[in-house]
Amino acid sequence: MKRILWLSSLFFSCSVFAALEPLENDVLQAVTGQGGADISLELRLNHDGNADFVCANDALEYCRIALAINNRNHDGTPTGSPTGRKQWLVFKGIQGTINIQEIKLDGTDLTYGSTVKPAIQLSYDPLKPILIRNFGYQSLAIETDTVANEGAGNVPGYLATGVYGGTGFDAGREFGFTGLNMHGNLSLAGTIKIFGCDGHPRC
Amino acid sequence: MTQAQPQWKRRALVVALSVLSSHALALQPISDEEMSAATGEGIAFLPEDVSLRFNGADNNNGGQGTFDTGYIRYIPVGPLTTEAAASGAGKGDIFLYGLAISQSNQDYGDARTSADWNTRFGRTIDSWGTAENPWLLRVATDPDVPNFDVNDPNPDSVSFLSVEAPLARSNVAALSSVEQSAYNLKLGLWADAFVRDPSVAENMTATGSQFDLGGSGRENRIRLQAVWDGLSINGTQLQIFQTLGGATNAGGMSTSYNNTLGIAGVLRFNSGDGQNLRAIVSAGSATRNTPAWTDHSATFGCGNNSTSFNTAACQFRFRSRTVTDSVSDLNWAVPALASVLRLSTRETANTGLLATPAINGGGAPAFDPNEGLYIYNLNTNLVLGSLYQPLTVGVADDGQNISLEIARIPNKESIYKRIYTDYSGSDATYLGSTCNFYQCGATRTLGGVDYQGNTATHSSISIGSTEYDAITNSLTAYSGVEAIGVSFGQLQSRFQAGPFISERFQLEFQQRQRRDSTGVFTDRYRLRDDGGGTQEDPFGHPAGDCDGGGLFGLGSANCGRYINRQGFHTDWIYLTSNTGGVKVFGDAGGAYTTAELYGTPMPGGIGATGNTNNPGSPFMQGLHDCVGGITNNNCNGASGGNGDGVYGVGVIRIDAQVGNRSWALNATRNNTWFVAGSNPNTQENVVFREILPAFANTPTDVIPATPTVAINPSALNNYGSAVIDGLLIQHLKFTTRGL
Repeated sequence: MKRILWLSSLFFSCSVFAALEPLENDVLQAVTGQGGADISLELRLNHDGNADFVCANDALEYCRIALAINNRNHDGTPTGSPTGRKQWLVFKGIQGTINIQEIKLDGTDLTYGSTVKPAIQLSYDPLKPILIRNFGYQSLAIETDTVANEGAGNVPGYLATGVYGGTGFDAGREFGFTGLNMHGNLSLAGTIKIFGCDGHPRC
Repeated sequence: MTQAQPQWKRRALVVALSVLSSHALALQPISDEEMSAATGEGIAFLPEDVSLRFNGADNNNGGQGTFDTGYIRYIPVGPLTTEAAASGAGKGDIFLYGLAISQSNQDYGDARTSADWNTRFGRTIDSWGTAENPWLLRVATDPDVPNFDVNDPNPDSVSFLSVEAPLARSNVAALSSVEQSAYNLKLGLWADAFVRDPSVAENMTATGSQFDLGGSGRENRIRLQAVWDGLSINGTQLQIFQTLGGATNAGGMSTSYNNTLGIAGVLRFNSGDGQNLRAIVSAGSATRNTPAWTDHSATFGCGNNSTSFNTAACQFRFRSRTVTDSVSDLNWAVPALASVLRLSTRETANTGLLATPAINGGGAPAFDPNEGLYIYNLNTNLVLGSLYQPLTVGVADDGQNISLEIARIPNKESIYKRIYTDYSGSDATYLGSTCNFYQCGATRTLGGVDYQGNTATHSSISIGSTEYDAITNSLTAYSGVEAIGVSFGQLQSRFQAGPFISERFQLEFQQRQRRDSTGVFTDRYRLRDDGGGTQEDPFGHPAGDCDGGGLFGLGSANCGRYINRQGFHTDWIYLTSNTGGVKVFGDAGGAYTTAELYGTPMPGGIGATGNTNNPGSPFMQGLHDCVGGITNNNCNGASGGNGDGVYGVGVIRIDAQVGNRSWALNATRNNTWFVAGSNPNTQENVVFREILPAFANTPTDVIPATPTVAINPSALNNYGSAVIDGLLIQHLKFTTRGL
């Protein structure tokens, strides 16, 4: 989990730097103007180019995000106990395509009291909304490890398998309850100034 | 991820901040040295001219997409519970459409119209916060958090990640229009909720039979629109942290509280000051007929009909009349409504009873402009947990269901004294308080400007017209005819031509109370023995008879004697003040109609002589020791009269006044009447109806200051105001079932 997050944050960072790369630091150090950059970014998670789910029916357990909260074992013992099997909150069938068409990135000054702060300014154009396609998860379940304290032979909760059989709405869906799906154009307008809170009376 | 310790969170933030800061470095002439110190503990955000709208996934409207048809869907996966299936229920399939956050098209505080409460999007928010008071994402450490162990007095440190909206200001009306925009938000969405047939597979391109539970063509859909025009979320914050330990499974606590993911939140959704929200009530004509008083001239004893001065402890007299108010053209007008939350379901165009844009395409529906449930001036301030009473997430015993729990307040003084409130104010060690529209814990001053805090521990929810007590920080619902708060359908003004007539029985009274006065005086007398024997003391003074004094019993002797006497007097004292049922009797004028009062011998004063002659009030004199016009020396026993010494014991004289018994002695007494209230149990109301049974079924009314009729002028669809105040969550646990 932690690795996934770090990877994605690296991914974000890379895109941002890619737009800024041609400017050298020593050049920028002398620049006081408001030169900015436009950022566009498309993120796909378990989707193909048509925003369709790509995970194979026999490998659904690899399209998930799971959380284990500290001290949540099946028998109420704390994390690390020799008897406790870890419980996971598993988001099954996680997926989504998010296309950020345009964010303008600028620098600006911000004044409070007698303090002048440098700030990043992100600007959004409502005519270029963030395209969100089938973002969400198919079902949510609490799954439990099969071996105490993640011992030998353990099948982690987040790899638990199983789909509903029969016919009807649930047929073929992974065990669990309420799924969530977002689909639409998130139209944002305006600017957001982002600045370090250091020295600010609120912090 | 959530096993991560707070230190990890902080590192991540610092990394993120340094990434962000590097842009600032690139864009501004700040040296590396300066930047290296500027790691800070948080990031601030200032959104300006912002709005958010979730549109359909298409290119309409210049690329924005079809307005308000982007959706968030709750997919009803999983079998029904046995009970639900047995009752014939289907799955609930919910599409939330068009979530939009914007600013109202009206300026802050201005009246809303149907064009506002029937649209989901207004305009951009000028400035959601200020540079001095921005949004925050920060990490901080509270070094003084008690753990759950009741035997551990030492506090621990808790590091938390916090998302904070701008703090709330109190006097928003005085702010600039740009700042006011954050208090003038608009929140809109609409939803389609279906009853889905579990036996039919999902089809996201055509309705088919998937919603035909209970029969084809059933209207298994509720279409709902929610618009809140005129609100602020300032002061809201959410903290995420790792809880402390020390809890056991005793005393109502649970080890599941220990060292796990903790959440605490202050959720503030405020509309405005309900103290100023009142309907406007007026009348075209309002007259009052006030007839002359009917005097009930007899006087009555308290609690019985005795008029005897000796047995009546007090007396009343009464006067009454029937006041008739007449009101015509009664008008109840809707005031300016600066905040409206409206939930409505009626469409104006039928788009198909089982259609929804996610499946069938098309635009967002049009709703009736004035139908539905209206909630005015809703102020909701919810305190959900704290660093020492966290909200935790857990798993039910079956290993399948989720539970959300706000930890029970431990029986530990250092925790519960931070939470509970001493409303009397006498014990300042109780630190809890209520978060409402007016305050939310200790006020914070930033840069010389006061902001409401977010440290309160109790929640408050109010709807509509309220009254506020700043001393106890408590809210109550206003209950007059001007109260508004909830209406079904748009709140209507109401006109009633009338005339309407109300008759009220008015009763006034005067009261006097018997006053008993006593006074002690010392009466001095002399026995004279002219010789030849012993002059007997007629009162048997303990010093004895006067015995001769002359040689061989010749000559004379004067023997001084005295005796204590007590006077007793009764008169009336009249009621001069009646405040809140507390009666003060202060008028005893015209007292003392009896000039001479015979005393009663008192014991005491053995062997003493003296000439004390000072009876207490109201007695004026004790010198007139004799009866029947015998005065001076005759009376003090010095000389004269037959049988010296038989005189000397007499009466007390008091001033001879008249009129104490007269209710009309003077203007003050005669003209001062006291209002008998509507409480039937007051002494005056009880006495009046015991003595005059004809009025037994005529209750005493309070006469309003202005002509008023017993007609409710309020709109028929007005359901008035409501307040829940000082709500403390002692322990709360939600557990899902059937998953």
